[in-house]
Amino acid sequence: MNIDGLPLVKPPYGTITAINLDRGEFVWQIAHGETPDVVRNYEALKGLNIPRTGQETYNIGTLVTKTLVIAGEGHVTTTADHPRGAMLRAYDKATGKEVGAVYMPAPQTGSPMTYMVNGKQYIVVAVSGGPYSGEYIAYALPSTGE
Amino acid sequence: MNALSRGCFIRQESDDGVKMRNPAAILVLAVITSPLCLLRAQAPTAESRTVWDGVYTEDQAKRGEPIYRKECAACHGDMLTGGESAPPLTGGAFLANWSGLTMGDLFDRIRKTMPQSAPGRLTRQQDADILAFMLSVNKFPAGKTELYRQLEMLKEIRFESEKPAPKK
Repeated sequence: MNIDGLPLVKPPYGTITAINLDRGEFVWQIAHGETPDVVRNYEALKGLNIPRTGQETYNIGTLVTKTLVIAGEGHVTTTADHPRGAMLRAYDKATGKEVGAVYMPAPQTGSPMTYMVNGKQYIVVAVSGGPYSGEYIAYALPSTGE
Repeated sequence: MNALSRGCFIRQESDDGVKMRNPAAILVLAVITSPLCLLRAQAPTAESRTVWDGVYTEDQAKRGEPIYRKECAACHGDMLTGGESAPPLTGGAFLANWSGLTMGDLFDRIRKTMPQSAPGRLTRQQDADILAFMLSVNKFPAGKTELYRQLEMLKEIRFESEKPAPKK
């Protein structure tokens, strides 16, 4: 349900939630995903400071490492910080605080995964969406020397 | 032990989060990437029409519906909401992923990749009729002229998820 493209439901439109399985409680919950263009550019909302709303999630999976939760966005956005595309985001696993983000030319599909070759770690993610055909993109992380 | 390490989940409306696309399909699709990039470079002018200007007719959408049901619904769903390996053709993600591009981009995508079993099997007219049906489901207004089946003309119609503000 929406009015001129603005969803009726209150944000966040998509979240990542960390659950303590021993106690069944939420440890943290964050909005995942850039505020959709249709909301950020909405005429009647101009001048209001709206925190990141997240995006409705569809077929978006996470990668969990020793310290991080990594997940990409499922919607294309165009912001002052990045051209038309989507972001792959990393969160501190203990707190949900965002610790980094890299640009992807199209939204994530499936789940990211990580692997190591000759001491160098990679994150690979499948992207596609709209006219952008399916691709795998691998990101290399700096060598830690461990 | 940190209980967090036991599990961390993303909440989502579908259980299919971890399913990957068919790798073979990805390889096939990759071949057409470069011509699509060229298409995108030819951005339409701000003066061009948008999908809010009544670019299809109700009759055309009615013609497109049974074709959609027969050729597309098995993967994309009766309500266009997508399936395990097929993206939705309505809703926020669909609109966001196409917004700012043109009907030509969308038409070209269908021509070159759909139906997945035999891309290009449908006629241009059938593809245009299916697109008209998709526009009607997405609540874009119908008009008095049918949606074109010529790529060059479709490129002149911008796909915008939100209604452009009236010119002042």
